[in-house]
Amino acid sequence: MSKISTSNTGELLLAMRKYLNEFPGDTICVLQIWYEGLGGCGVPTPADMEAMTAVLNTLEDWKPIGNVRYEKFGVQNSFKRVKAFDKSKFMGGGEEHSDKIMVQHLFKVGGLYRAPDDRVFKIVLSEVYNLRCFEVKDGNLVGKMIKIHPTSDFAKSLVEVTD
Amino acid sequence: MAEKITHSICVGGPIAVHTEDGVIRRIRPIVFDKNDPKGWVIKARGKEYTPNRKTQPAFIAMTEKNRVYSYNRIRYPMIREDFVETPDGKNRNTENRGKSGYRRATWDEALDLVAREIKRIQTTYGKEAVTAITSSHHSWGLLGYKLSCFARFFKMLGYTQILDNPDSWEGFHWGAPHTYGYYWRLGGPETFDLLEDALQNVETMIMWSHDPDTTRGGYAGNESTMWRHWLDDMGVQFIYIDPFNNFSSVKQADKWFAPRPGTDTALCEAIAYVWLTEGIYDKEYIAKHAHRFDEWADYILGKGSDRKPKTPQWAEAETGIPAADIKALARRWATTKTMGGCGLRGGFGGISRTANGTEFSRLLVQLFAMQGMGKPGQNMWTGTTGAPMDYDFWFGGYSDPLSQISNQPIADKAPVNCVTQKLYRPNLPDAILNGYYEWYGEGFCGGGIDLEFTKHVYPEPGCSKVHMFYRYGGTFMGTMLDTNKWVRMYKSPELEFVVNQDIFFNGETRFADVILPACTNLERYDIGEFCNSGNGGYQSHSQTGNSWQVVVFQDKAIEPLWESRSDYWIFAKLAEKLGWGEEFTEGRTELEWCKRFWEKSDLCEKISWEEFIKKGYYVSGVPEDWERHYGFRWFAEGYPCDTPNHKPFQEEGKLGTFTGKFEFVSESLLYWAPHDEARTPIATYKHSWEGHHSLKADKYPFHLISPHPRFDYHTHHNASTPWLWEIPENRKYINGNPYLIARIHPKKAAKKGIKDGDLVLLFNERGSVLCVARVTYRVEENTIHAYGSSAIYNPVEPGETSMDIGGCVNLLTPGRLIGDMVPGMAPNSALIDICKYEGPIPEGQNFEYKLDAVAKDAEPDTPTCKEIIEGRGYEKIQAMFREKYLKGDATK
Repeated sequence: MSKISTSNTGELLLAMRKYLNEFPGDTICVLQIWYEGLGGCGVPTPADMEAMTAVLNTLEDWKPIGNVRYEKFGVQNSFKRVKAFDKSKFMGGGEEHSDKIMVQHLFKVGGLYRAPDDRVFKIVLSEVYNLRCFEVKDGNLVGKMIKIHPTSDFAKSLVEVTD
Repeated sequence: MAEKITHSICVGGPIAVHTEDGVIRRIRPIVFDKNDPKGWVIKARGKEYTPNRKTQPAFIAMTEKNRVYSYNRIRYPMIREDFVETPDGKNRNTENRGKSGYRRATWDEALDLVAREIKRIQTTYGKEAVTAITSSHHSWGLLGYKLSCFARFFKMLGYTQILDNPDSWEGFHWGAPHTYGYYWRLGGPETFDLLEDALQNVETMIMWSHDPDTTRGGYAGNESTMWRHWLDDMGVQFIYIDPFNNFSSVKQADKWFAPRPGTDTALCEAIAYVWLTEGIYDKEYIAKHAHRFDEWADYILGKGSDRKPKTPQWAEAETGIPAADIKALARRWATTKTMGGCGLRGGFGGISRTANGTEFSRLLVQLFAMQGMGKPGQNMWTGTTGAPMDYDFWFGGYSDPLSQISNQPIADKAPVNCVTQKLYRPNLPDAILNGYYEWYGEGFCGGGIDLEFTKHVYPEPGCSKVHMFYRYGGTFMGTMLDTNKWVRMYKSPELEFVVNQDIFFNGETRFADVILPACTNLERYDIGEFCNSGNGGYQSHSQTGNSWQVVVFQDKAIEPLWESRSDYWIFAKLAEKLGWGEEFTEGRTELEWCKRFWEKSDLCEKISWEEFIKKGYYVSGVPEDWERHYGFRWFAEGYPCDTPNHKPFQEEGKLGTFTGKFEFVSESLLYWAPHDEARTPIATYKHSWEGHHSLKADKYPFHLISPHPRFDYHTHHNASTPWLWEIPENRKYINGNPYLIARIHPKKAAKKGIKDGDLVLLFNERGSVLCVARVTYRVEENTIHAYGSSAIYNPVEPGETSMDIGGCVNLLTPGRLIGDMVPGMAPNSALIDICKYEGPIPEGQNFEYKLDAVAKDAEPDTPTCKEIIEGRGYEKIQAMFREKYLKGDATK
């Protein structure tokens, strides 16, 4: 069971909206919402899953994208944020410790990102204060390892290559 | 007489090698010069602490000279003398494997045969009919390492991969992630900057199943020994918990607790009971950071389904530790700033390799959580990692995909294995002998909790079984389970062809049809960083187990001895014979590959290639005002994660569990494996399937514990380094054979009529091993202690499952895995009996005649194995190579 009753659609909608507004990722499944957003204990019942999925289907910010694998949950029916999450609020904000946020985790290790000059980079490592990348040409990693500070303007300008 | 100094790294650490006239004369630590950076300085309790200006390798590294000229070097390619190359792979006298002698072959003859057999088998059965595996850590260096040139060759070939199991920390790997995440660290805790935290704050150290002077933080040599002395000197109390009063404990312990093997989980529960009933835990922290704590507390207090309070009195009956001592331990832990953990990096240890391994690991994490894990002086840290480091400098470690010649960017083209079928290492013999095997998990599951629960079946539907086995380095006889099964596997005609590529004539090497002699690290080029197992690979920043971050150009000190060759050379030649040599090498020499690692890392920004190979090493300094990233502090204090881990799920201040908190009832287990009896949603003490409560205990009343060895690194030094046999606590040389020391409590020894120094037989239904008794109060009464990972395996009847005189106690360990859904091995859940041995013992080790025959055939004047051993190793051999060098014969 969870702290929020999934049979109370109104309450469920409010709780899910609140959680999703603060969720920094762009892909989610109902299991993650159950455990992290609703304080779920135990495996959600099929009715719980259906109720959460139904709410997600009503949210215009999120669209269904089918199965996606999660490292914790395995393959799950998933939803993607329609409008990209504003990463800039994590990048060099004024709050305490915000300068220590591992914002590079907002970039996917193994992901491809396009720079404004059309070069494409593959993120190969993310450690403190450095995204480490190689340029990708003709599908191959070329040249030297490049370090990009994740809160730099250059990092902010990178756009994920999704196709 | 020209002296040359080169540098290298082995599993014991980095070394400088002095060579004169083509002969290795001296091995020593690397001493830094004035151009190398200053060491870090930690200010704590009114003092300043800084490391010595040199590397501090383990003593095994200092024996590399003895090892290079060892009596059991494989000198020439060899073919089993009764091997028949039948066209259909049948009738090859496979039953004689292990027994038969060998004949010398040329490289071309041996490699042509291997290439023909690979082609025949893959054409007949399919690509998947070939399988191959390396041992753990068989040599150091990013080019020669198993994940590099071995992986490149076999991915290009296409083969059935054998998945490794995390054999040094099973319980943490399969258990701890269900309590605190960190599956990307394979269950181990993060310990960044905790050396400074400890020096400044800690008052008590809990060293549970931990012997740091022996296991040395993995590959960090003696780098951290001084840190623990500093803590000792400032009055920190050290509490050791281990059935064996281990070598670190006898030196340092303020108190030694000796639980009966496999009962440590009960001790954890009793400690929790004391804390709960006396209210001495961090309630605020638990309220904020724990999930379903109350249900768990109910279980501990006896309000759960078993209605059994886990009192110290209850635990006393299980562990043998007096209840008053358990209470005192619990109170000390709760009322002082306490750090600790299990095994070499905090999430290892012999107890994690028992039937209760997952449950112990989860409970240990829960105990540290109850005391506010991550607050100053309160953490999982065992004095072997967490030194200051410049995280802005990156050089790859061996498990890092970016640092392997099987991957880009080091290679221009990365091969992909076209075979999906897999095998699982601990049960390889079962799969081959029974023709069928099922298991869960992907071996190392750093890629996700879900990977623990993938189901595998061998053979994979539509795939052929395996008919060729290519072994590479080391010997599993001493590291796997119930290893007489491996003997039976090798003799099976199912394996039509067996190749072994190794430096030494190890116990497992002797079962091969063709043996290919590899050379040591000191005879080839390579490059590597001291104790770096891979940042982003799995155990991030293991090099914080060192005081210094050192990258070494592993120069060739001497040319390969006899006809041995580098692993890279062997694979390149074999690839050439298979018709894809150019694709394998990409036209590069070994030195050119080494340069690629320099070029594709931060090293190229710090030092030129020419300067690097001239100097031989590079030391990365730590900035004076280095940025601190204390392990778990972010979680304790509730700010976004700032530690240099390499995985997501932490950016919002969450752990990698389903709920993002410490789970006292595991949601991931409820979801993935709700009916798993070995690993229940609440971690509980469970009677071992092979322990003092089992029926078998009537017949075999002693617990055998076989921890990681003090006088070896896995199976890599002891067999080939007779110098180590002179250590009385290691072995006793009798009649030409080095017998392993087995320790027994005086009370039980008296009952058995065993005296110190007697030959004793350790035995159970799986096998028997002849050892020498050390009668000592250092072991718990019901325990026999004998180091595992014996490199030496010498059955009295070669090739048969007969009595072993090599000390290979893994013959006695159970093949059963921790649970049906927990594919971890549990060698420390082994019951045996012991008796005084008064039967005959053989002369020698029962295999030297095979090497001597081949060596004498090639060089009639060469000394025999026994002469080399008893002449203290190598002088005669060295003289022979000096002569060749001076004549110019050995200069290639």
